[in-house]
Amino acid sequence: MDAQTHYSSKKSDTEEWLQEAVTLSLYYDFYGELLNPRHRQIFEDYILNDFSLGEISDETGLSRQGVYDIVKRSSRKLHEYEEKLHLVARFQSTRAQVTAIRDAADRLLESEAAGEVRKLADRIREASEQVLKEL
Amino acid sequence: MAVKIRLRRMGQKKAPFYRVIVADERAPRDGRFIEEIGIYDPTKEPTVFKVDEEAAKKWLATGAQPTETVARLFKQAGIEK
Repeated sequence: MDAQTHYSSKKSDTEEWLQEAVTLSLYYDFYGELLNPRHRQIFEDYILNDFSLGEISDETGLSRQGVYDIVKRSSRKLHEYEEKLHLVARFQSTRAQVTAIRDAADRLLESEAAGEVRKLADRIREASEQVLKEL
Repeated sequence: MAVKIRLRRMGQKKAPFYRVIVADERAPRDGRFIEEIGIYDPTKEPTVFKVDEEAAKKWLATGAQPTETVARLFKQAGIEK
């Protein structure tokens, strides 16, 4: 599905909109710096801070349609960056896998494991925690 | 001045987390709000939406305006004025 179809759901379909807003806010964490600085504030207000088109329009002096176009264009760009770079997908996959490694080490530590096994489990746990922190 | 109930993204980068906040219409984006009355956490499976129903009703009764998103979340949670 392309970004435009996504975005046409707008705020009136809460479930879908929230999902899209969460996705976009994650993309924004990774690629936000690549957007036009003037557009960033408007994107943040609409997507992250839950302001309405009307409110943003009043504040910026742009028309509602103008505000909407900027939000839509920024959203499309973020989707395009992810389609090309996959940083968010990779981040999510790495986090899930390393979390699984850490949880497995935790289970070892909670078991009867002793001696060298215990030491290694500790080491694995520590390294996983570090990776998760630095992700 | 009008009071709004909004969903505001908080939390660290790469960890989306939202608060349901009550704030002045013109309150700064990342700044002060009057009260936090709930959370929305999409990182949990399933997604967590918790709201202080009494506080929500109190604010709605005093004329606070929920955004479209918040109004629908309230409706799903069975919170009406």
